[in-house]
Formats: sequence, C-alpha cells, structure tokens
Amino acid sequence: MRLELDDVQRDLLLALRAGLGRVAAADGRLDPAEVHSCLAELDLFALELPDDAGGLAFGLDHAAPVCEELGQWAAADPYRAGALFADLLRAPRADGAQHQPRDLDELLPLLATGKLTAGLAAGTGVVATPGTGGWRLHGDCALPDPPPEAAFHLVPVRHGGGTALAVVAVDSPGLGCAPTGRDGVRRLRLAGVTAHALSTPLHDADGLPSPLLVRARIRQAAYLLGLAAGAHRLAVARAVTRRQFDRSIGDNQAVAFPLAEQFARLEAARLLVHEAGWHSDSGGDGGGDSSGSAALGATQSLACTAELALQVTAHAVHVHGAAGIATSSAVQRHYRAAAVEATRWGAPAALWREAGALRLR
Amino acid sequence: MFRERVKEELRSPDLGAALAALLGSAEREPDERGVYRLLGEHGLLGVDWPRRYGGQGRTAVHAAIAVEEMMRAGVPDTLFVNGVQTVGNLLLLAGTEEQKQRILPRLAAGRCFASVLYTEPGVGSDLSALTTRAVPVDGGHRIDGVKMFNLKSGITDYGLCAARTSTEGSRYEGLTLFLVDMRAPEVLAERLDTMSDEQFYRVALDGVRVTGADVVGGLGQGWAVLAEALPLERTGLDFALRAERWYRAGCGGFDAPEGLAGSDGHDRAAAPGPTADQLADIGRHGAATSAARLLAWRCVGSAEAGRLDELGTSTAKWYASEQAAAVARWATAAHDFDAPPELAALLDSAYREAPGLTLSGGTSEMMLQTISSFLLAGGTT
Repeated sequence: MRLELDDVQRDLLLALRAGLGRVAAADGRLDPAEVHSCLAELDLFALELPDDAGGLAFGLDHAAPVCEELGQWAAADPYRAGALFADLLRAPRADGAQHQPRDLDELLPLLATGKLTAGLAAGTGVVATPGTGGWRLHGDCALPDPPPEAAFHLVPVRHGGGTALAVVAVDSPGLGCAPTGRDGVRRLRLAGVTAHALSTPLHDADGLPSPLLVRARIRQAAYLLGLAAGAHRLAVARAVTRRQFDRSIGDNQAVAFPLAEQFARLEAARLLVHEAGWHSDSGGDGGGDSSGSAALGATQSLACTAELALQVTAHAVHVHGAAGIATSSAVQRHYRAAAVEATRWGAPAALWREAGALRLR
Repeated sequence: MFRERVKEELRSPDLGAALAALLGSAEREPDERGVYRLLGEHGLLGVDWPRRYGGQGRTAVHAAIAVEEMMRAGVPDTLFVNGVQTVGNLLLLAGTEEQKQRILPRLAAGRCFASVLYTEPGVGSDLSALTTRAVPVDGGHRIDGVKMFNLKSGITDYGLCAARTSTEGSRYEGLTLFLVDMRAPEVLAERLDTMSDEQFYRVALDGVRVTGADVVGGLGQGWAVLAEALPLERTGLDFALRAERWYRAGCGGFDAPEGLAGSDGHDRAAAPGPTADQLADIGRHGAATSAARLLAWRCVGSAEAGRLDELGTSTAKWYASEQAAAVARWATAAHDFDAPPELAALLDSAYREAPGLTLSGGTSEMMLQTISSFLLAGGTT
C-alpha cells in the first residue's frame, strides 16, 4: 500500500481543485449545479465504473481524494450518491425484488456521464414489505439536499432481514418531499411506494457490513475528512491574519497547539481512509483478517472522520471568533455540513462499537 | 520475504532461548547485551547500513521491518534506539570515516553499545542552554559537566556528548558533539531510581579527555548536526510498536460479542462480552494505534526516498507517543484488578513507562511547536 498520493491521484485532485476554484464565489461558496458540471466535465462520475459501462475503472483509492476535495469546499456532492447508486446496480440485489433489470442496467452509462443523479436519504423510519409488484415502502426519513434534477432517491429501509437500500423514483406515486425546520434537510414521506430495486442487507447475518456499505462508508469518510481539513485550513489562515494585542492570534500556543494536534489527527485519519480504500480495492470487503479487512477499515475510518469533522469544524468556527458565526463566513458552512454528514451512516459511537466488535472477531 | 526471514532468525534456537530467558528474568532491568550480541550475529542490527560498516546493505524499509519484528518478539529496544538508531545513524550521517570504521561494525555486531549524553539538570528540551564545557587542551579537549536522565549509561561503551566549545555568537553556536569513552575513569554514571522499569543515569564528566578523532561533525557544528539527525530518530515507529503491544494486551480477555453491534438502527443480540463502552474503546484505540503505525511507516518511506522532513516526523512522533501513552492508561483501567498476573504485570509496566514517552525524543510540546510553525508559515499545503 502506498502512503503518499501517486501522480494520478494528485492530478485528479488538482484538476478538481482548479475546476471548483474557477466557479467558486469569492467566499468559496459553490452552486450545486456548478459542482455537478465540474465533475461531469472532468469525467469524474465515470471514475469508479467499469469500462463496459463507460467508466474509467479506477478504485476507491482514487475516488477517496475526489470525495475529500469536495469536502474541503463543503460542496454539495452528487458524487457519493451516484457512485453508491452504481454500486447498487452492479451488486446482487435482494431476492424477490421486482425490479426491471434491463431498465436499471441502462442507467449505468447515464450515471457515468452525470446525466443521472440521485439523492441519498438517511434514517431508520422506512419499512419495506414484500407485496404484489415488488417491495412496498412505508414511513418517512430525512433527505439531505439532493442534487439538482435527481431522478431517484436511495432510501435506507428496514425489513425482516435487516436494513437495505431501496431505489425509488422521485416521481413515484405515494412519495412526498417537504422541507423541514432543519437547514439543508428535507423530509421524505413514503406511502406504499414501490421500490425499483432493493439491495441485499447492509449487514450480513454475522453483522459484517456488505461491500456496498463498505464502499459507501469509505467515500463518506473521505468527504468528512475533507470537511474537517477544509475548516482546519480556514482556521489556520485566520490564526495567521487575525491580530489581537499587536500580534497574530496564532502566536499564542493556546491557539497554535490545538491546530497542530488537529493537523496530526487529520493526517492519521487520511491514512486510515486510504488504507480502507486500498483494502476494498484489493478485494478485502467484508471479511478476512479482522485487523486488515476493508470492513474494519471502512467502519473505523468513518467513525474517526465523523468525530473529527464535528470537532475540527466547531473549533475552526471558534478560532474565527464571532465573525465565524456570520453566514458570510466560509467556515460556518463546514460546521453546518458536518452536522448533516457526520451521522449519515450511523452515529459515531455506534460505528466505534461496530469497529470494536470487528476487531475482536 | 524479508519479514519471514527476520521472524525465523528471532525463532532460532540460540536467540529464542536467550530472549526467553531475558523476558522471564525476575530482575527489573535485566542486562540485554547478550541478546543483542546474538541479534548482531543474526544480522538484525544495522540492517540498512553499508556492508563496509558491518551492516547488511539493505534499505530503510528492511530496517524498519526488522525493528517491528524484534519488538513484537519482545526485544527491549532502548539499546537499539539509542545506540544503533540514534548514535549509529548520526555517525553514518556526520561521522568521519575513521569513526564509522571504529564504531559502526561493533554496534552492528552487538559488541559495543552507545547512548546519548544531551540533557542536563535544568536544561530539558532546550539544548541550547546546556552548560557542559569542552575546553581545548593538548591533544584534544577536556570535558566537564553533568548529564541527566540518560538510559543504559551503566552498560554502554560510548556516549555521544553535546558540550559547549565556544560562547561566541548565539546560544546555538559553539556546541560540539563528542564521542566519550564511558569506561574512562573520569566518567561516573550513577543510577537514579525511576518509576519505570528502565532506570535513569546521572553521568558526571569530571575532566574526561577526548581527542580530535572523537569530534563528530566538526567543532561548533553540534546544533547543525543534531538538527539534521533528529528527524531520523522520530519516525515514531518505536512508539507505534509500544501502542500495538499494549493495545493487544488491553484487548486480552475480551471475547467477540456473538452479534456485531450494528450502526444501522438494528440492535443485535446483546450477548455476554464487552460492554458497549468497552467495545467502542476497543474500536477507538485500535484505529488510533493502526494510524500511529501508518504515520510511522510513511516516515520510513520518506527516509527511503531521501526526503524525510521535520513536519512528517514531528507529526508521527507526537501522534504515536501520545497514542501509546493513552493505550497504556486505557488498558490498565480496562482490566482493573481482574487481570491475570502476567497481563497485570505487563500493563503495570506499560503504565509506568507511558509518561516518559511524551517526553523522550522531544516532548509533545516541542513536536506541536514544530508542527504549528509549519502550519502558520503555510508549509503544509
């Protein structure tokens, strides 16, 4: 395993950084449609897809830096949901799902070009029951802002075999979407919605995360790492430029040392994320040696980056002082995004318990 | 594979028996030199040194693999870290050809041992404040002063001593490194009792004579040589390996729960076993311990590529030493008084050693100072 970025990873990252930089507002804010165009122009939606689906056949090892860079900007990110959708389409699906394989298979090339995007819901409130015509979904869940023009949503659903992911079309009968009091989060209501497809359970009978979940967790960990690293970068810049008592606030160890500690923790987390990606690409999904498996790597790196994102973004706002709370401040976007993204795949405490259990296997 | 070869060497009858005897010793700090002689005979010291200096001519990666396996086998590493890694590598970097020929082959053979004589009473991390004087005399220098908190000084043959040879210029100028014969009658090493298994020494240098052949890196070049050599000591690998050993011990006695604790909203069978908090701690410390090793190995890779930098080594050293200390505390508390005697002894030793980790090889505050200096100067992008 390489512990430094290779030339291809670095080129991808720099190309994305330059592309986003061209369309970003002065305060770093990015229009979701511009982010989508940038990813599409760079062919990044094709990054992980196989050749026969019009993809570039790179692995998570290369996707992780892309997700991290999107997090660095606190950008609305259509990449993770699209890649997960593609994984779901390519993976075995739950028995009994009355999906339309041909139609669904035709979606892959559209995902590869970014012409098709999906929203990714979160929460445990939707129940799937088998019925005539397929799985019927009832309940409601959170939907963090989906990409513009999303045609499908991926919805976590509970059924007798555990939790799985369902694909629902945004124009499905019985599907409602409404704003909530929480910033950046909508509410999906499903009343007898028919799933287009249903993944296998996200955990197997022994509790091991499925390859689908492993890959989703790694991308999420990379994005959260980026959120934290982006906020940290802003905090460091603020510590250099903000002067109080005739000197930069960064000249005070009480300001400088926590930033140094966070830098070390971010570096450590980055290596965990990349190791997890490497294990996953090497076929270590969901099993094998407990200390080296992608399942453990994905779980622990997500738990680690979720906590880091919450801590580092909060501290970064603090370093900015009252100015950091103003909506004109870039850093508050990272802080607010962390609240939504840190628990998308479960609370960090629960993830740590799962990682602990995986280590004891 | 080189790692397998190292494991085989460590399992060889002579080395295996000597190591077992050392680890089974009832002494608090048994003399490990016999084991080191065997390590030398088996080619496990100076792995990355050139063959002409008694090494194996391999890479920094091979050397790190050897260190990992030696420590995993239970080899006490202070003689290695202080002698081979710190003094040996510094000589390789800045020593004269005569010094390299004189000392490195014997260090690599486990036939001679070296330690550092840097710290002084009241000096601590600020080496520029040291007061030990080296005064020119016929044929060389005469050194007077007191060095403190040194490890293994009672059994080492050479001490790499930092002394002031000039008071001109800044406090950083005028420092010189000397190789001191620890057997010289003017060198008095006294044990200082400590809470950890390894004892400190107070080393009094009372007019010890050194010659020009004992000057390392040139007169007045001590600070520059140390600044160049320090990153070599700070890959963090030794600390990461302590974290790994203690983490494994801390997990001892905990069985896997029958069902994994899922994070998807489905509570799985609450079987007997670790509590939820214990499981989360096992997860947290396991991840941080793995990350410490990855950071250390990134430094090893940088060393191999010839671009070891102070930011990377300070990051690895801070993270790994803090994590090792945290694991020692966690493992001790996790087992409380229920640990079986052997585990209890190991964890007690770890707990007593832990506070020294964030002090030795540069304090955590020094590491954070270095990291923040890079950060605030824009040197991390």
